[in-house]
Amino acid sequence: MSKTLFQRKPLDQIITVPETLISVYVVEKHTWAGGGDKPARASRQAEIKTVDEFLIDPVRPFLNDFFRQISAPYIRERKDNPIGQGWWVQAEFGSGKSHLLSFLGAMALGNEAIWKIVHEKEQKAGLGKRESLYNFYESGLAKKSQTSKGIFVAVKTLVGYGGGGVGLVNADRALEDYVLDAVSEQFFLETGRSLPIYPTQILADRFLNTDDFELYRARLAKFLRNPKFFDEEAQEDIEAFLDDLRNNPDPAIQRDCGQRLWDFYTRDLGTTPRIPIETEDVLRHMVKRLLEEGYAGLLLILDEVSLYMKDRTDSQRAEDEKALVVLSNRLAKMDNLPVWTVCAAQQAIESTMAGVMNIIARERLDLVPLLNQ
Amino acid sequence: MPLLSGPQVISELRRQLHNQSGRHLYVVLGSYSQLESFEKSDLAPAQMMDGQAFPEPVNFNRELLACIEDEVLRRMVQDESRRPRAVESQLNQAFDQILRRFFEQRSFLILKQCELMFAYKLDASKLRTYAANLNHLLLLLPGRQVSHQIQLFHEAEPRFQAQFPGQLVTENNLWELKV
Repeated sequence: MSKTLFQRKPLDQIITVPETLISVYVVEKHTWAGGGDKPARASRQAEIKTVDEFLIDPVRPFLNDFFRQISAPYIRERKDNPIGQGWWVQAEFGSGKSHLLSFLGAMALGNEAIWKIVHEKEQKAGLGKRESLYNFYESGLAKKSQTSKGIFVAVKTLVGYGGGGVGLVNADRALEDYVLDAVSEQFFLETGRSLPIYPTQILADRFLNTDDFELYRARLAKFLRNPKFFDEEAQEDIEAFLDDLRNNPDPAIQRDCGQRLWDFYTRDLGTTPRIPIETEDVLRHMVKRLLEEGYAGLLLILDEVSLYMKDRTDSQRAEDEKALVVLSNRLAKMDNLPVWTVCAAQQAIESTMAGVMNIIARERLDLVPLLNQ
Repeated sequence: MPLLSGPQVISELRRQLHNQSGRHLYVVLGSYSQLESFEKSDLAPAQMMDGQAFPEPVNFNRELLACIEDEVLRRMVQDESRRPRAVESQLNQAFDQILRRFFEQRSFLILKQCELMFAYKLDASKLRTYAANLNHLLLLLPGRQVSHQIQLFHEAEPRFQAQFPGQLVTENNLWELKV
């Protein structure tokens, strides 16, 4: 027999390897184009490479569920048929969780060119219309993107936060705060405006638009100059304060001003302002504000939740779990708000934390064991 | 975590710099004087596998302030006690800008003098975000490991000490200099 008959082709003739490959995915960098730079986030441009490199078939059952929910028509009154949902994606380290999350975020932005990539992949694989993910775009998501601002996508990787150790930066902050941060930051990038969603921002917004402004203006001016409350450097003129409050769109400035107002009400007036401060009220207010702004819903992507939870104290973790239950159950199921929450967790860490399983259920966060399907 | 000499750290680092996939955030801990000596005696003459010299360490504090316009910086100093969140937010944006800019120009960055990062509680998770795939980032931090925690500024009074989030760096990328 001829020798060449059994000669194997070199590997480079059998497979093609891209010149560069993203080996580590980070939702903040790979959901939007340009490594998540400001212009791409502002204009809701999805990262093409994230979609190009993604293997759909191993997770198709989950993707079907996810895109069915987010593309379904939203009817506010149909509380018996809510479209909101939460998912808890769980898998080993290095199994592609962050890539999956980045893919979900990129696709949810609803860019037609991005969906065409998926369409072509599915056509090559010989999938019919009914089996394809593209069908969800054609029959629902495309319309949402055309008739509204589309789905608002907010992401956060929670590594480096949350530890309860003394001296660790931001250890006292809760998951709810990180959710508000992610939404606030993305909204500012997309609109150039501040969305009043933190209690202090809500207070600032309310102060300017109610009788409180005229009623308390003079007293507030005195408060801002009162050495009993502020050292010399921290004192300020009422006009400068009001100028920032009215005209500066920076969310951080609005929060600083709101904090001063909060202190004014609680320390000077001796009253607690009647604004939402409980987790459920604050998060509900956040989703409703996004809908009022013309978005079709909120997709919240939280990566490395188990790493974050690992070092939390019992009471901190209870508060964080409450926030997740509010998002995935109270708001999504009971209130029928279009909010979708996807959390990713490492299986190895997960198994060491007994309490977390309380939030896993279809009516709360639906368990998605990645690569086990 | 074993205590290593300067040359041992360089040797470990050279090996790791070869990797082009995965996460590449490295931390060297030591006293201020140890870090200074490590920089001069070990980092300065160090070469990568291909014979290229290691890049010069970048003074983070200086870079952070340099990438904020003078007028903005003046306003930030004036407003700091009145608008602390706004100042923190602007510094975080500058922090992001530094990492983005350097990694557009090079694939290996060494940061020293990072005090402002911790004094202003900047978002250290950015370090992990950027130090992946082709990008390698080495931090020279005054600190030591105590149990499983990374204690920073251990030579200072307790009120000035801080903790580095251990989740950001893997055990095999964390080295403490031998006295």
